[in-house]
Amino acid sequence: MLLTMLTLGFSQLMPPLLFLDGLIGDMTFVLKIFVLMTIVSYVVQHLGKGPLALLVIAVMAWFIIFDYFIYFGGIYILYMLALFGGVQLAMDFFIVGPQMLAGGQHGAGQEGEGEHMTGLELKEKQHQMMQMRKRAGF
Amino acid sequence: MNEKGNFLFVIIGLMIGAVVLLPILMYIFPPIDIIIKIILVFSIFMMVRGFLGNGVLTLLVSGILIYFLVIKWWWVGATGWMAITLASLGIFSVLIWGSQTLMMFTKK
Repeated sequence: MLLTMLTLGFSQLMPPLLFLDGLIGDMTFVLKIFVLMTIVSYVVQHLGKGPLALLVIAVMAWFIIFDYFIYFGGIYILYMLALFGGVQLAMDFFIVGPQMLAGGQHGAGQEGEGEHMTGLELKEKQHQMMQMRKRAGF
Repeated sequence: MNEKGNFLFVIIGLMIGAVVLLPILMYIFPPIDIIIKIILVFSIFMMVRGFLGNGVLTLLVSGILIYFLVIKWWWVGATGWMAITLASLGIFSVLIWGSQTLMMFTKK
């Protein structure tokens, strides 16, 4: 009985685990299509749609998609992350936020433990955050 | 020190929660599933057209991408689209700054 229940439970649990089968391969293929589109767009933008452009596309695609995709795939993902504001996000996450948190702890220590910020103090903190972001170049 | 650690966990949790919310809603409510898939199809087609222009190749590449990202791995497509949309609109920054402010308020 217990074995049957375990088997049934396992068989019901397995499909969610097995649904990842083939995901990596498919997503690599999709990533290669995106890289190819970027190459085509970049070359056509610079050289038009002549035979030279096709030659350059073929050469670049050969090296980037087939020969050295293990490097260029990662580079393309990083490029996309940077394009969609990943760098600013990392700045907020790792630099500005913890710095301000440390500043807030310091301020609380000066003003007394357990004290909440007033609206004016919060406004001042936000102003400091904006200054830090400006200094960081964002 | 603990608050810094909490801050990081809160932020990561909020980000993951915001991104994963859409596939969960799509799974629970079929109308949302249909609407988001239509939006995904339009987004993919517009993006490919932006890269390759009008032509047969655009239709072909769009078809391949739609098959993989909307039909076969719909939750990957929906999650990715949600992440890109939130990042483009700066919602993640709002989450980071908002959580940090909230932690300042709730600090004891």
